[in-house]
Amino acid sequence: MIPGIFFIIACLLHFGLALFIFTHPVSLSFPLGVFGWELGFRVGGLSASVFLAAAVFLMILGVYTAIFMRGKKNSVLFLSSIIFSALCVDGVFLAANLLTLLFFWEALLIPLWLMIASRGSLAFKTATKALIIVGVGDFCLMAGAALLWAQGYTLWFSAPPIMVNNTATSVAFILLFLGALSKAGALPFHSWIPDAADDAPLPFMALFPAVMEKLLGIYFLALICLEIFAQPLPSWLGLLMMLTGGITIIFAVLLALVQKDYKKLLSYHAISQVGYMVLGIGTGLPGGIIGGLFHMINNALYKSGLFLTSGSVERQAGTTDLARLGGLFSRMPITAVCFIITAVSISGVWPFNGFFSKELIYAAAFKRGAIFYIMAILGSFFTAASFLKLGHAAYWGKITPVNKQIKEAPFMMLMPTVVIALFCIAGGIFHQNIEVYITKIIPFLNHTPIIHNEAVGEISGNILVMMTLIILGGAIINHVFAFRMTGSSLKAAEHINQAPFLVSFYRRAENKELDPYEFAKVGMGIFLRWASAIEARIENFYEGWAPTLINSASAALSRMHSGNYAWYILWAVGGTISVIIFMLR
Amino acid sequence: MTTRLLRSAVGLGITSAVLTLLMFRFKAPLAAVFELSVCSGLISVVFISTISLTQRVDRARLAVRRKERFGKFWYLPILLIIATIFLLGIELPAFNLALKTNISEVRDIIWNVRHLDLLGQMAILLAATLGVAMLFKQK
Amino acid sequence: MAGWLVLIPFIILVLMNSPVRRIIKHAYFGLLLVFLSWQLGFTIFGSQRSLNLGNNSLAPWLKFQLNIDSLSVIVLAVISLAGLVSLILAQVLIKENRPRQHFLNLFTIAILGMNAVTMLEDVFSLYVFLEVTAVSSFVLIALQKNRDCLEASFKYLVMSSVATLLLLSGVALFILTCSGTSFAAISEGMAFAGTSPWIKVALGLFTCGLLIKSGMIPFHAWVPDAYAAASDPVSVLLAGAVTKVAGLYAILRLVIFVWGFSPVIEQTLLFVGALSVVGGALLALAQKDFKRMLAYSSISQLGYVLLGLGSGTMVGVAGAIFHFFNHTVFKSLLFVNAASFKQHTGSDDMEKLKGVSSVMPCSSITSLAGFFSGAGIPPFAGFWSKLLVILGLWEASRQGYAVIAILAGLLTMGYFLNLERKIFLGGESVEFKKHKVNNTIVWLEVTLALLTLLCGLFYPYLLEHFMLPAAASMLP
Repeated sequence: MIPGIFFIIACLLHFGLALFIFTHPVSLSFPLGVFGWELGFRVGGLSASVFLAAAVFLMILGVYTAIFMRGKKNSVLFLSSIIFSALCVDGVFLAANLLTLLFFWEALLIPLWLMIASRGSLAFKTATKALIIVGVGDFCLMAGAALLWAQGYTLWFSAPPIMVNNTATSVAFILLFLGALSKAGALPFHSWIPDAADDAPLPFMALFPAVMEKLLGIYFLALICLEIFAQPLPSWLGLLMMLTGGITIIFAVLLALVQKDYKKLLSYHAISQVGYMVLGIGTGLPGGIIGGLFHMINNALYKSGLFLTSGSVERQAGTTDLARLGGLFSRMPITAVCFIITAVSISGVWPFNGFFSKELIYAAAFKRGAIFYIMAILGSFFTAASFLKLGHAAYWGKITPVNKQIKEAPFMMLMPTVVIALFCIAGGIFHQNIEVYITKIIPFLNHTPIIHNEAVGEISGNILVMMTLIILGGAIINHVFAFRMTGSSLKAAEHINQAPFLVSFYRRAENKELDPYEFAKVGMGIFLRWASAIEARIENFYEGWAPTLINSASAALSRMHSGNYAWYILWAVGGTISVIIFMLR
Repeated sequence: MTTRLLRSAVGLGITSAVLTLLMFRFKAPLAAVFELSVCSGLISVVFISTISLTQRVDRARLAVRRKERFGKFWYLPILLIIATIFLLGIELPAFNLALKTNISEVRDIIWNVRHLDLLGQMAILLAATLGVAMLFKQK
Repeated sequence: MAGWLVLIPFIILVLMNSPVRRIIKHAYFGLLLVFLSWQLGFTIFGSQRSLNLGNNSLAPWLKFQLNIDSLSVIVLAVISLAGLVSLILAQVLIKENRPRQHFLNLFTIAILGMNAVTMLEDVFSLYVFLEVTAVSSFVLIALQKNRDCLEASFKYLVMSSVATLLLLSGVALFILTCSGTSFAAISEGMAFAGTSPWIKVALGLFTCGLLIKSGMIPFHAWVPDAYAAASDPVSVLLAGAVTKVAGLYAILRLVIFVWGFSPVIEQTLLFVGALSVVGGALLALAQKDFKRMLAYSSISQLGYVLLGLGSGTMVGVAGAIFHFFNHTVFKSLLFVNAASFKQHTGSDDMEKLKGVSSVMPCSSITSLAGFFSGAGIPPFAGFWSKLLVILGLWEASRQGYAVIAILAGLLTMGYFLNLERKIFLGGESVEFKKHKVNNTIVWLEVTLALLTLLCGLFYPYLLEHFMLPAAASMLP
C-alpha cells in the first residue's frame, strides 16, 4: 500500500505544481553548448491548458490506479513508470522548441515499454510491438525536424509559421504529421492498442491510450497546423489529413463492433475517436479545429471513464469477456450509471459533451465535402451500435450465477469514475464556455464567433442535429432488431459481421492481414536473412582477430612493466629527450 | 653503519654551509637564501633519521670509540683553515646573472618576496619529520 | 581569502600536534571536515561573487602572492571533494588512534600543498609546493609499512626525484632567460625571446617534469603501484587530487596562461595524451587487481584532459576542465567501491568479486554509475565532458586524434564491462554471507553516484555558469 500512497501524493503534488506553473508563466532556456542548440521551455496558450488538463487527469486517475494496482505484480515499477512518463509529458507540453519536444517525446518510449511489460514476460511481445510502432512514428518526427533544420528554419515555436509551398516543407509536414499520428494512435499506427488491451494492466489503458497519448498527439497536430506551419495549408494536405481521419473512424469502429471483450472493444473505439479529431483539425476551418480540440478533451474524459468502468468490472467480476458478463446493473449500479453516462457521451447524444464536439466536426466536415460527413456520421452510427451491444451484454440481461455475489467496486475506485462522469455532464452544459476558451488561447482562432450555425455558413446547424438524431435512432432500432433476431445481445452485431462487403474485411482482420506491423515483420524477415550473412563476416572480425590483437598488445605492454626501476627511468628520460628534441625543431 | 651515517650527515651539513657562504660571496643573495633554507631543512631531517636508527652503545665500546674518533676526523681542522683563507681573504669575481630584479638583503627576500616559499618549506620539513618519525620509529 | 586556504591547514596541523588535540575526541577529523566543506562551499557559492580575490590579509607579512581565478575555483572544488571523500573513508577505515593521527597529519600537509599549488603565480613556488605534496604523498603511501607500500612509495620517490631534477633545470633555465620566476615574467620572456633554444629546452624540461608528476605515458611507471598498494583513503586522495592537481592542473595553468598555445606544445600534448589514453586502456584490460585496473584507467582518463587541452579550442579546453572535475567524482566513487568490496572479500582481486552484487547491491549499483560516467554513457557527466573534448579536437582539425579518442572509448568500455560482468553475472560464490556494509560508506557511494548523474543531467546549467566563463577567460 505504501507505494500507492506515495504515488497518490506524487500525483497531488504534480497537480499543485502544474497549477502553480499555469498561473505563473515563465520561460527558460539552457544552451547545450554544441551546434547552437538550446533547450527551451515556455508556458502559455494551448500548451499550458493541455498541461493543466494532463495534470488533472493524472490526479483523478492516479487515485484509481493506486487502488487498482494494490497487490498486483510489479506495481512499483508500473507506478514509477507512470511518474516518469508524467514528467516527460510535462516536458513535451512545456517545450518551446522542437528539439526539447523531441527529446521528451522520445523519452516517453521507455516508460511505455516498461508499463506494458510490467504485466509479465507474456506481455513482452506486445510491449516490443508498441515500442516499434510508436518508435517508427517518433523516427518520422525526428526526420521531419531534421529536414526543417536542414532547410534553415529555426525550430522555435515562437518563430513565424512556415508556408508549405515546396517539396521539402511538404515532406517535413507529412513526417511531422506521421509523428503526431503515431502517438495519437490513428491509422496506420494503431495495431498495438488492442493488443495492449489484452496484455497491459488496465490503468495503463485508462491513462495512456485514452488520455495522455491523445493529448500529446492532438496537441502536436494542432501545433503543426497552427504554429509551425502556416494556414491555409495546401488543399491536398488537408485532403490527406481528412481522409486519414475518416478512414480511421470507419475502420476502427467496424472492428470494434464485432469484439467480444470489454476492454478490446473500448480500445478500438479509442482508435476510432482519434479519427474525429484528425478529421476536425484537418478541415482547416475554425469550427473544425475547435471541434477537434474540444473532442480531444471530451474523448479523454469519456474514454478514461469507460476504461475505469471496465476496470471496476474486471476487478469485481474477475473477467472482461462479454460472454461471461451480464446483468451487472443490479450488482454494480453506480458503475453502470457511469457507464451509461460515458457511453451516451461517446455516441454523441444531447446534452452530453460528445454531442457538441461532434456537431462542430460534422459541420466542418460537411463544408469540406459530403463524403467526409458521411464517414463521420456512419462512424457515429456504428459507435452507438457497439455501445448498445456492450451495455446490453455487460449490464443487462441475465446475470450469471457466478456473478450473483459480486459487490460494487470500492469507494476510492468509484469516486474517480463518478467524477469523470460528472465532468462529461458539465462539459455538455458548459460547452459554450469551453469553446470560447479554446478560441481565446489559440491566436489563429481569435476572431471566430462561436455559434454553431455561423461557424459553418450555409447549412443550418439544425439540419445536422436532425441527421444526428435520425442516425442515433437508427442505431437503436438496429440493435433491438438484431437482438430480437438472434436472441443474444452479443450476437447483435453478427448481421453486420456477415454483411456481404464486410465479411471478407473481417476475415482479413482476423488473420492479421490488415495489420501494418505484420507486413513490416515479413519484410524484416527477408532483410534479416540477408543481413545475417553479412553479420557472420563482421563477427569474424569482432570476435576473432580484433580481441586477439588487443589482448596481445595488452599482454605485451604488461610484460614491459617488469618492476625494474631502471627501465622506468629510462622511459621517462627517453620521453624527455624526445620532447626536447621535438621542441627544438 | 652508524658512524658512516653520522659522517655523511656531518659532511652534508658542512657542504651546504660552505656553499651558502660561497654564494653570498658571489653576490647572489637570492640563491644563498634558497640554499640556506633548503639545507637547514635537509640537515634536520637527516639528523633525525640518523638518530632514530642509532643503537645504544655500551660503555666499553664507548671508550674505544672515543679514541678512534679523533683518528677518523683528522681532515676536519685542515679543511676549516683552508676554507677560512679562501672565503675571507681572496677577492672573488661577481658573476653577472641575468636576474634583473631588485636584489636586496636577505631579510627582505625571505619576508617579502619569497615568504610563500618559506611556508612551503616549513610544510615540507614538517612532512618529512613526520614521515621519518612514523616510518622509522621502532616500538 | 586565498591565503586562508593555505594558512588554515597549517594552523590545524600545528594545533593538532600539540597537547590541545586531546581535548575533544575526533577534533582533528572534525576540524578538517569543516575546513574542506567550507572550501567546497566557497567554490560553489562564493566564487561567483568574488572572483579575482587578490591578497586580503591581516598583516603585510601575511600577504601571499596567491590568486584565485575561474580555473582555480574548479580545481579547489576538486581538491575539497576528493579530500572530503578520503577523510570520511579514513575515519571509517582506520580505527586505531596512532595511525589515524599519522594519516591526518600528512593529509593536512597534502591539502595545504595542493591548495597552494592551485593559487600561486610563480614557477619556483610551484616547485616548492609540488614538493610539499609529493613528500606528504610518499609518506602517505608508505603508511601501512608493508612490503608493497614501501616499494610503491620508493618508486614514487625515485620517479619524483627525476621529475624534480627536470623541474629545477627548467626553473633554472627560465631564470636565465626571463627576468624572474613569476608567471607574468615568464610570459613576458616568452613573448620577447620565444624562439631562443634555451626557452624551448626549459619548456620541454618543465613539461616533462610535470608529465611525470601527472602520470602520463611514458612517464607513468609509478602510478599503478602507488594506487594499488596504498590504503584506500590514500588511493582516493592520490587519484582524485594529488596526481591531477600536482601534474595536470600545473600543465593546464602553464599552457593556458603562461606559455600560450603554440603548435609545438599542442602537438606534444596531443601525442602524449593519445599515448596515455590508448596505453592506459590497453594495460587496464590486462589487470586482475581492482585498484591496479583503476590506476591504469586513471591514466587513460587523464589522457583525455591532455587531448582536450591540446586541441587549443574553447570547446576542447572547457571539455578538458569538465573532465578533470568528473574524473574526481567517478574515480573516487570507484575507489570507495573498491574499499567496500575489499571489506567484504578481503582482497582487491577481481576474481573474488564474482557475483558479489547479490550481497552488496548498493556498491554494485553505484559502481555501475562510476562505470557509465567513466565510459562516457549519457546522461552521466562523463559523456558530456568526453563529447566536448572530441568536438574540440574535431573543430581544431585534428580528426585523427578525435578518432583515437572515440576508439579508446570502446577499450574503456571493455575493461569496465569486464569488471561489471564479474560483479553482476559471475554466479554466486559459496563463501558469501550477508554482509553489513558500513553505512557511511554506503552514503558516500550514493552521494557520489548521484553527483555524477546530476552533473550529467544539469550539464547545460553547469556549462553556462562554470565552464564557459572559465574557458572564455582563458583563451584570447
